[in-house]
Amino acid sequence: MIKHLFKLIWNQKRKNAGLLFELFFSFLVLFAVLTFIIYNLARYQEPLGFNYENVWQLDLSWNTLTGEEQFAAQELFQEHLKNYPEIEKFSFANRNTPYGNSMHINSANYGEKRASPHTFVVDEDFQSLYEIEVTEGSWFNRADMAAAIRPVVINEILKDELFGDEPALGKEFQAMGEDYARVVGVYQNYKYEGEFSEATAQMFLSPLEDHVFSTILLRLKPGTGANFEEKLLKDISQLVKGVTASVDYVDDNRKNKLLAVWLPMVIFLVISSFLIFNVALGLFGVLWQNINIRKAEIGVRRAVGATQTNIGWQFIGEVVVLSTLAVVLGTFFAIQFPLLGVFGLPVWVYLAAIVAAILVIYLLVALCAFFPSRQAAQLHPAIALHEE
Amino acid sequence: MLKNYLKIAWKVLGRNKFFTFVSLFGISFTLAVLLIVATMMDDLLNPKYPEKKGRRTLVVNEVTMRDKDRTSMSRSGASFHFLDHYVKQLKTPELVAINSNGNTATAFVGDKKLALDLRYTCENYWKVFDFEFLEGKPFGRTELDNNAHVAVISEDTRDQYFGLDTEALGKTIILNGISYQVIGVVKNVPFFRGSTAADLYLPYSTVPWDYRRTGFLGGFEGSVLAHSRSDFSALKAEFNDMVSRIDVPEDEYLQLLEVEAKTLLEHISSEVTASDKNSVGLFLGVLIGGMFLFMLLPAVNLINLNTSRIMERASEIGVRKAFGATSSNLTIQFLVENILLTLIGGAVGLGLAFIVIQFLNQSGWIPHAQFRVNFVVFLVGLLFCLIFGLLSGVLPARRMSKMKIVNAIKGGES
Repeated sequence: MIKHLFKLIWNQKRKNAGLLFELFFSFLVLFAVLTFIIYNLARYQEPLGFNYENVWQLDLSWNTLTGEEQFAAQELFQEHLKNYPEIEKFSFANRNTPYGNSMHINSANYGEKRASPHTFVVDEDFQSLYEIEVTEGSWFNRADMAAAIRPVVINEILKDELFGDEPALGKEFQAMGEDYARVVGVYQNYKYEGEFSEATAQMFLSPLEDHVFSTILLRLKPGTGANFEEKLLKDISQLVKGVTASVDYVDDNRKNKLLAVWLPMVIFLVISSFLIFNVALGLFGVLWQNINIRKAEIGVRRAVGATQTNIGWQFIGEVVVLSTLAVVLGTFFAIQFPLLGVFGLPVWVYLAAIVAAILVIYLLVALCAFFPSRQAAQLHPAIALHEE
Repeated sequence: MLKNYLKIAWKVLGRNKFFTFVSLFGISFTLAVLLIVATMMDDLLNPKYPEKKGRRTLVVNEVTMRDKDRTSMSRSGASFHFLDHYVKQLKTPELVAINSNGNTATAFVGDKKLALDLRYTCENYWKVFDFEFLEGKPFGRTELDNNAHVAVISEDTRDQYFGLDTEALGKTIILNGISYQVIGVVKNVPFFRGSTAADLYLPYSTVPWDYRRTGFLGGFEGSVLAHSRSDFSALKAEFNDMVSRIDVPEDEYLQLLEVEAKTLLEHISSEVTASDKNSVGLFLGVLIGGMFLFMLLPAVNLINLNTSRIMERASEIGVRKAFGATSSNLTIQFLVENILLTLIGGAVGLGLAFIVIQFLNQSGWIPHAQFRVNFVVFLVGLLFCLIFGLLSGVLPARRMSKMKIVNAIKGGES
């Protein structure tokens, strides 16, 4: 049977080459789009690890202030911000904050092990403000920060990279060049680059004694609006002359960051659906036309005893064999991506995309072949032969 | 002759409505997408408001500093010092404009917050770029020298801060807690205009930080207007010579200074391809290659459809051949038919593209964008139609014309 189908396809090789190419190309398009979508959805599924709601980010520009003036101003803010009933919590941090555009990567060495964690310098209140879940030990506190060796909180990826299965708490490793830091806590997730970003090795370092921060994070009572922001900015500019401050709502930053992924995803999806719909219509047309031409063949087969079902399956079988060829060819090319590790995506994403693309292709051809095949099957032998 | 072909083509189109629909759907959708992309590219790459002199402008917006071993590097915009001290002293340019990039200001209206994109500019900025003033005029040397707190705002900023279509001239706007007097209102600029998009333009003398410090990295960019395009090579030569003669102070860790004056196309290409090298070829190659690839699938689809429909026309081909029509006669006839089909599809596609672009302009999804389907885009669209028609028509046409007379008249296989 299969052999027969191949022979039939070979007899029409020119025409079928076109169909084969079309299916092959559709497969590649589907593979590309599905890889992109599956990868991003998988990222999106991973827990974010912090709570962005009602958080404002206050960015400070120190302008022409000297180092000492900046530090003094920072102490002043620290006291002043406690006075607002609207502010539930606040925390000082460096500029690489959630949904921002900055990142800072450092080297971390432990014996022979080397890692490059994303590094954050924040104060002791950061964890409770963003509600980061600490799984081992605890966040650094004032007492830790007074110790001779800097306390650091690392995530589980960095823990794996540096210490493997050994317990991490209390270990000391080289963070930021030559300086050692001591692990006081381990946390699970903090995807500060957004839901669609990949989890990376990370560490939170406590600030040095004279460190000047550039950002203050504020967790506000729900429903606090721009009126309070205006008042806050006015107070800050009066409290310390020469400082410019601006407020970003972390919620808004998040929306923009997510849009940068959603938008291309939707555009790709719309364009490729149109392409595939177009291919489906074309395929339907071609199959329908083919069956019209092959009436004589159908008539002869019916006359020598083939049932309606036989005829129907023959045409579906032909298309299935053809699409299998296209899919095998397409998979050969698609499989090169995980084999060569081109874009560095996890292997299972490519495999899932290949499987999904194969399913879509078969669904597509099954739908397109169904009606023409049924039409062929229902053809009366007398009518079919009459035309010959 | 041609008239005859067109007549036949028209009849064929009407014969099987379903196939005509499938063909037209594929063609018009494909061309609509290509036309939309072409319109956007036209808006991005060709000089448009307010960068109308874009053809003879070079931008200096990226400075790279490296250490001697080339292991560390730092890259950002240029410093005011570099632009003011070195670039402005060049002899070849007609004018040099300096403006800052990536600053924001906060303003409040009632309980609403406005986050405004802000540029600090010099007086030449208003001469290098052709802003359309709805009210008032730009600031000049006097305002800069007097450290005057004056602002030029965009139409959109005016509407949001002062109310829709309210006159703003002479009124006060409070930005980051500091009062500025509005002296001009300009037409909105789309967000992707690299040197001019902003909600607000202030004199650089009101910059709150120490912008005059020495060093080469900073948050500014320069636009260098040449007398004509033919001056570009001389201008670039003078610029590079100037850069090569700069002595970075010995005690700086980053010693090597790299900076270029680029055309708009060179700048966009290096942005998109994230490459240091001259990447115009790569950018255009990827763009054209991508469009071609996008056309390929619908074209193959049309080839398959056309090929499988040869049989419908077998007897016609047979008769024409029997009466002496050559293969090339028939090839041309079928090509004309196919190109007619693509032109109809193209017209529908143009209409679709037009509707989508109107929608994009009005929805405000792309802030302040005003895309226009212009003559250039129309020509590009026509070109796409012809390429598409040839691409999808040549193969089936050749197969049709090669059919043997006997087979053709019999209406059977080739």
